[in-house]
Amino acid sequence: MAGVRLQNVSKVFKNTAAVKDVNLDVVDGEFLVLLGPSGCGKTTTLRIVAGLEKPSTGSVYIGDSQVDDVLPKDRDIAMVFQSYALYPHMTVHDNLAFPLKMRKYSKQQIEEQVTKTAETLEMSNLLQRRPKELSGGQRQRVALGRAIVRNPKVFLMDEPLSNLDAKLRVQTRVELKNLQKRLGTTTIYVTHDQAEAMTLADRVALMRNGMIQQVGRPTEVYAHPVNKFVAGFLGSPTMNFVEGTIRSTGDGAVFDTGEFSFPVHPRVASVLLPGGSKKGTYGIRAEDIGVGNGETEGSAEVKVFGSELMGSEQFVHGTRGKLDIIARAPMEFQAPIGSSVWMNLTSPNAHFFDAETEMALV
Amino acid sequence: MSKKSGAGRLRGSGWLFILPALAGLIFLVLYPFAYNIYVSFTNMSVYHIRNYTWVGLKNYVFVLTSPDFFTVLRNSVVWTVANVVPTVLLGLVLAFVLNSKVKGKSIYRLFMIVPWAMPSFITLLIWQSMYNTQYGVINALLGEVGIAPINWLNDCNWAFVGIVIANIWLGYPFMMIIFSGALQSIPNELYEAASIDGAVGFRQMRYVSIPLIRPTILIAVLLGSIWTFNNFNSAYLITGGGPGICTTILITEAYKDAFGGTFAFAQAATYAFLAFIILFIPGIFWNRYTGLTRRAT
Amino acid sequence: MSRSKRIRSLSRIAGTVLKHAFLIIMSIISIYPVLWVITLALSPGESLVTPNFVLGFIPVPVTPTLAHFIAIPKLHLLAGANFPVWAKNSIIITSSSVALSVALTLPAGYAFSRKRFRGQQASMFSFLLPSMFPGVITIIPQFLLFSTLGLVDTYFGCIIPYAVGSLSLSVFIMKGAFDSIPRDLDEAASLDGAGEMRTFYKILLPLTLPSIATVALWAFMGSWLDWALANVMLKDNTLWTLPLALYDFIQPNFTYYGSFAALSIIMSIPVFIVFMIFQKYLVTGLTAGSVKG
Repeated sequence: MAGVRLQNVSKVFKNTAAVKDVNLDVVDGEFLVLLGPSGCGKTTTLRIVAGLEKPSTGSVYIGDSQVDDVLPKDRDIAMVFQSYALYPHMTVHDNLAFPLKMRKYSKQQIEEQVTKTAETLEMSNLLQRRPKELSGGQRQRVALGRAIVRNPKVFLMDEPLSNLDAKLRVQTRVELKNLQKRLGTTTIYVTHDQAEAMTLADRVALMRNGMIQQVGRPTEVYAHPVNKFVAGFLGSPTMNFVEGTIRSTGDGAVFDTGEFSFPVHPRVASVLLPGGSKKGTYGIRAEDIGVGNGETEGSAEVKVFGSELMGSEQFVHGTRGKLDIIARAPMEFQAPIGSSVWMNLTSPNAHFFDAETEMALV
Repeated sequence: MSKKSGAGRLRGSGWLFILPALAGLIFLVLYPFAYNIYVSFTNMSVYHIRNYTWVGLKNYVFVLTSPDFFTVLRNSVVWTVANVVPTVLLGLVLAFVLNSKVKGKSIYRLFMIVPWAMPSFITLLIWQSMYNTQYGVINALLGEVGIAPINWLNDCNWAFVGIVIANIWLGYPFMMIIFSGALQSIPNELYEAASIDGAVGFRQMRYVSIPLIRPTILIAVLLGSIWTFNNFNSAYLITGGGPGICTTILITEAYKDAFGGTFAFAQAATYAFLAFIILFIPGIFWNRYTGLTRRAT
Repeated sequence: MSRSKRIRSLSRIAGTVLKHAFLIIMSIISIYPVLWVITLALSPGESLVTPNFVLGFIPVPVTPTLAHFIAIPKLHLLAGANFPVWAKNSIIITSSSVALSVALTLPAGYAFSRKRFRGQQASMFSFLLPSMFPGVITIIPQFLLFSTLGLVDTYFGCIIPYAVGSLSLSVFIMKGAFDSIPRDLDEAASLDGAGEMRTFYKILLPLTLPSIATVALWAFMGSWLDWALANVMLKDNTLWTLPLALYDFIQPNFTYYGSFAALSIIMSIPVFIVFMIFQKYLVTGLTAGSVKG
């Protein structure tokens, strides 16, 4: 078992920088998720750790050794590809055995390992089948099996669940997390699905345009995003962003959207110097907004555009002028389309992002 | 609008569409073939063009017991093997080399398909001129490195070698193209997975590339064998089958008998049908294996 | 640099050198006969001359001349007829064969793909059969058949066999092309009001143009350069095609290598051009069925 360290890693393809100065420390045994939109450089970073790409600058360390000049096969890593990359001409058994065969394990050892792995992943009955005879979920398990059969120091996974249907994906997520905890292998996992990241990660690293935005425990990053991008990427429904100006008033502060104003919690108001004002974005999550049928102090009137009924709760979409705000409400709350409801946007959990830098000031 | 709807197409109209082509096929291929079999049981020749008679198996007995037959048959088999093996191997090696990281791929490829692109009829005649004992360029080159001129066209064994070389030259581009196509259809990720699993270089070839193009190789060998066995041009144009029957294979024998002056159609038909029988059986297996006639689902 | 890394770079360099050496040798072998015939075409006289060798093996004419090429329009054989006649015959026969082949293949491919009828599998197999016969086998009976029909020594004597001869492969290429167009398109078209013919012409045909080109190319290659059948069917000198004339130039009795070389090059050029253009279609057409999965 070993940790992984990326030091000043960057990768330039032709004229575009896919990865820019990435520094990352993955702790031994940790499940680290590289999260970000497509094209953000997360897959490239993963492939650099694997040795499938050479970094333009910087170094990669696995355990204590620098592996820049080491071939992928000698780095003691295993990778699960998005498309699984199973050998179509080999049976499941041979697919699992292949990495061991290449490393000259004895026949007996191979049989032991393969059987054990197959049992762990509950596919002992599939061993004689070929990949094309398997369902998507089964193929995924074989890909996983091929990775764990060798017991490597690091698992690298490139969106391994994205080809599964939604229900299977959610189910496999939990199993995957459980498996990793049992094996204790350091894992770097790439995905664009924030829900997946929240479920699986011990720590999550958000990437955008080749740069790491923030690294931390999911709850940490969720509650304290360092910038607008991170805030907007995590969480479903997405955080509500309201443009405007926060302004100091006599006994506190208000946020002026242009359409209306509402009071701001003292914690958020702390960004301001007394008597000052700042332009920027107010961010607040759906679960932090109170919504009611009647006007209350400090609330804003919005027209109901629609509501997502989730079964255990609902998400009310309200519009006002150019603003779209989503608020969480209990199922019983009445919000017919076109009617007016009042949303209370004052919350200690709100965030304020600087107009230019988009950094979270609070 | 027509009465056709969705799945219920008019039963008969399918036949109408294929009728012209099928008619052509029946008249010009299948009927002649059957007729060929018939003729082989007669004594049709320049002496009996209209008034031929049925002679039963006499032609077959004659052909099968003639000393020439087994020489010609042996020639055909040796010819096939001596061509297919090198062409497939060369094609494979070229495909692998051109599929790897090497600069100038497209230029090399362009040169490499010249033997295929140039009309074989012409290039075979060129080979004939190259093999000329006195002035042929091949002997001239050999002379430059101190090897005595070889009597390519008139020495029994060298003539055979000569036509084999020329035919291999004609054949490897096609194999190269087919195998290149097959190699390119292997997703790159498989190689990446293999390199992580521990296979690099030649091991990737052995465990990933070759197993995956195995179907293509098998079909190429089968097709190549059938085509080579029946290849008329290469065996005829350079040497005319000679000297004697050294470079004669089953079908050039047939052609010579028929149009070489004696118009011994019956004998030619016999040779032709025998050649067909030898190849028909692989043909059946080929159809089963590749499923070419399976309807598209 | 670590030792293993150095070994790796060295072996990589050695590998590259070997690869290039191999490719260069193969390239030379591939084009050598062509170089030789170009030399012949550009050398004066009609006998096989030993040329000069550049770099020891590349043939170069001793005294280059374009005389042979210039003489082509006036080429003639003692047996009669001349270049314009041969060229005319070849062009007529080849273009007719191509047209006929396409005309026969299109409906057949369409029917096998889009229609269901009894005996479909059997008739598809019978289209396969000819590819198992030696092509030359059919010449004998065809000759006999055509001579009773009085078609020997006519254009049709060649056009029809050429067109039918290429059918085997062509029908399968066409069928494959139609197969690759999803039925949904047919259905969408019929919902939009198009009848079967309309659908065929306006929608399916344009989408299968590459395959049609392949079929045409295949028919072209089977007829422009055929010698065996033409030799049998066209005894009349005024009907000779280019290949027949070409073959006569290097008969043992009288050999005209210079003219032969020049004529060869002229005859090859259309093939080469057409081939280069359609090469990629031909390859995909041929490999479509053979690569599994």
